[in-house]
Parts: sequence; C-alpha cells; structure tokens
Amino acid sequence: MDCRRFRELLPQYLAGDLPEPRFGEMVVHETRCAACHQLAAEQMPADAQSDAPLSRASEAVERESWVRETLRRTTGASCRTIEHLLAAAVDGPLERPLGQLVLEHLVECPRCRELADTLHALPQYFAAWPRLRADAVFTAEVLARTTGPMPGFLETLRAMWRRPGLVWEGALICALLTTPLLGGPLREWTASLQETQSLALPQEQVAEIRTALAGQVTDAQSHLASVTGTRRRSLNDQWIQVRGWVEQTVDRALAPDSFMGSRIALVRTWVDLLFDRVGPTSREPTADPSVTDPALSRDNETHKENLPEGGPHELHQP
Amino acid sequence: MQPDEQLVGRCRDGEARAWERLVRRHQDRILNLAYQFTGNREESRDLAQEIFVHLYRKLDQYDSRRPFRTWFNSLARNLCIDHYRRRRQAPPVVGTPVEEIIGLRSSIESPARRVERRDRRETLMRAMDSLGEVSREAIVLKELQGHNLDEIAAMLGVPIGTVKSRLFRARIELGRAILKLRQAVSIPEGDLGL
Repeated sequence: MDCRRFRELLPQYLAGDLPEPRFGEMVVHETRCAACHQLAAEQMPADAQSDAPLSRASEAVERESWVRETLRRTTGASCRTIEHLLAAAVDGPLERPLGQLVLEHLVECPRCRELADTLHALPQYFAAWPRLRADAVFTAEVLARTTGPMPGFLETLRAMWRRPGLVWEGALICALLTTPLLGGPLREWTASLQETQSLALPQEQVAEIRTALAGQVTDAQSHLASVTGTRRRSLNDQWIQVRGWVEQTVDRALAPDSFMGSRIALVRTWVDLLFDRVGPTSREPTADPSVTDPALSRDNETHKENLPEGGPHELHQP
Repeated sequence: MQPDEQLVGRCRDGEARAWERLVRRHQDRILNLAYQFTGNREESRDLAQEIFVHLYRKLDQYDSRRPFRTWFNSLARNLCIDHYRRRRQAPPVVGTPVEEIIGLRSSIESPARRVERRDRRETLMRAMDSLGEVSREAIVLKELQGHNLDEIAAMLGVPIGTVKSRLFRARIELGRAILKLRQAVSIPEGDLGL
C-alpha cells in the first residue's frame, strides 16, 4: 500500500469501518510511514485524543508486535526450515545469513525457541549417557563361546530358539512343503494317534472319575433305597429314559467321520461307568440298589428284556 | 599396535591369541554399542556376546580389502537393529540402575550434580526409547558412538546427504521427546542451569 491509498482510506480507517485485510494493510503502512502516522494522529477525533500519548504508545507497541507476527508468518522462514537449521547447529554455529534467519524466527516463535533450548542442551544429555567397561568375566565368556569346540546340535537349536520368528517361519515352510507329500501317511498317523488317545486318555480319566463320583453314587443309591416302592419305580423309569437318550446321542456322535471321536469316547466311558455303578442293568450286584428291593429287581428284569442282547455296554465298546 | 586386518588374518589361521586380542580391543566399544541400543545392562552383555560369536563365525567372509572396523561395525549394527526390533515388541526397559555400572564420577561429583546427571540420563533413555529405529540408529552412531558422517555412510551404505538428513530429523525427534518428557514433569531446561 502506498501513501496516496492510505490517505484515501484514512477516514474509514479512523472510523473503524475498514474490513480485513485492508485494515491490516493500513496498520502496516502506518507503522512503517511516519508521515502517514502523523496525518492519522492529526485527523483522529478529539474524543479519541484525550489520552492520545498513552494510547498511541500502547497501540504502537501492539501494532508493531502484530506486524512482526504477520511478517514472520508470511515472509519469514517456516518452522520446519528453522528446526532443520537448529538440528544442524548442534554440530557448530551456522553461517551468518542462516544464523540471522534463525535468530529472527526465534524472537517471534516460542515453540521453536523451546526446541532450540533443548537441542542446544543435547550434548550435555549425551554426556550423561553411561559408559560401560567390559570386565574380565565378559572377555572370558566371549572366548569360551568362540574358541571352544564347534557348537553342537543342541546349541544351534538354542540359538534358533532365541529367534522365535525364525523358528515359526521355518515350521510353517516345512509344514507347507511336507503336507502335500505326506498327506496320506500323515492323515493315517493322525488318525492312529487320535485313536490311541481316545483309548489311553479315558483309561486315565476313568480312575479319576471313579474316585470322584464314588461318594455321589453312594448317595444316589441311599436315596433310591430310602424312597417308597412306587416312587422308586417312577425314578427307575425316568433313569432308563435318560439312559436311552444318552446312548443314542453318543452313538450318533461316534460316527467314523466325527472330529470329536476321542472326546465322545471319553464321555461314553463316563456314561458306562455311571451306568455300571447306578444303572438298573449294573453288572456289579453289590452296587445295585435293586438287590435290596425285590420289587425294583423285577422292574429291572423287565427293562433288561427290552434292551439289545449284551446290554448297552457291548454297544459302547470302541 | 598390530592393525585389525592382520589380527583377523592370524585368527583365520587358527591363532587363538590373535582372536583374544581382537576381542579385548573391541569389547568396550561393542558393549557400549549394545547398551546404547538396548538401554539395559544384562541385555547389552548378552547382545555384545552374540555379536562376537557372530563375528567369529563370519570371519571367513571378511574381505581383507575393506577396513575391518567398518565391516565389523556393520555386522554389529545389523545385530543391534535386529535385537532392537524384537525388543520394541515387548515393553521397554527403562530406568536401568546404571550407578553400579559407571560408578566412576560419583566420587568427584557433588550430590546436586549427580542428581542432575541422573535426571538427564533417565530423560535421555526414555526419549531414546520413543525414537524410531532409523532415528535411534543415527543418534547412537553419531552422538553416542562418535562416528563421523563418512564412517556412518560407509557403515549404512547410504550417501552422506541421507545420513545428515536422518541425523537432523533424529535430533529434532529426540529434542521434541525430551521437551515432552520435561513438560510432563514441569521442569524447564533452565532449572538445570543450562
């Protein structure tokens, strides 16, 4: 903006009617041009001049600050450039024009000033980093690990174990390579393993279950023995229904293509065990409550006739 | 003093004494390099040992036309970076009790000075932990290991301009991290007499 344009817009400027950014341009020009500033001061309304010296002084300071900020943000170096120069200045002072540019920016930019202070102090931080000194034990350990005999298979495995990522990647690649080649034998091996587990695992579980359920079975027997004859028959009928349902479910689940074969075999063993202990067709006479009750014994005989030959136990043998 | 390259030649011939001299010559530097990457004493001992074991196994691959130090630094740096990548997946170990490690200047430093040094060290360690892999590497090699730009460029296999750029960026990143940490505990830089 030139002085002629300033004078044209002066009345609106003084009246406060000028919109931005025109108002900002007027402020910048007035700050820079003493004659125009004088003219503006003379034309200022009388009521605004009552405290003119003081207000003009404070306004001038504010305007100067505002102008500097505006200039910094428009024509000065960007914070990004200054940060780069500050980082370079850690190694030594910058050349004069660059140094001057940085200083001018730092006057107006508190954020970069903070960073400059921190970067300036970086060498002191680096000096505080502890320095280690290798002791004799360290040397001895290194020499023992290097000049000893060649690492064996176990040590190689241990070294690989320290890099689990490598181990998993290797395992994945091996699996991808071997699966198509060994698909058939692998499936057979898996199936045989599954079968072994389905046989071996229940045997271990049976002992635990036998122990754990012993008390409850005894309680159930006592309860059956204590109820009346009619009630006992009703309970017995219910028990036989439940048993039939469980047997059917287990048989369905034991289809040859069932993935849950081993687990179902385990469950079936539990069921067998339970039936052996508390069921009406128990092969353990001493555990059968019907032994003490002739009526219940008759009912059991009737239900036995309805079951397949050999009882459910034979059906469930794997 | 016999140059490294000659010692390596003797090592290749199976001379155990030469290998021992090579280890003793570089062990402090490698231990510190490992410590600067891990920030943990025990880890750095293990890592430094791994570096020497690796070096021993790779000695046959060393091209004697190249400076041994540069080659060894590249090898050590690769292992340190690998370790740093793995370590960053786990929570960082900060605040290692390093007094027992240095224990050097403590006798001549005033208590206030010692506190100030410890404060700076812990701040720096935490700030370093927040750096990316490339930035940490640049700071370690230039500021803590004291290599010049040419050496770093040769070690990393990149132009000097790239090294400079990485270094400046790392310094800005580190400066910001320190500033953030200090502001978090509201300690202005001036309070340390800077």
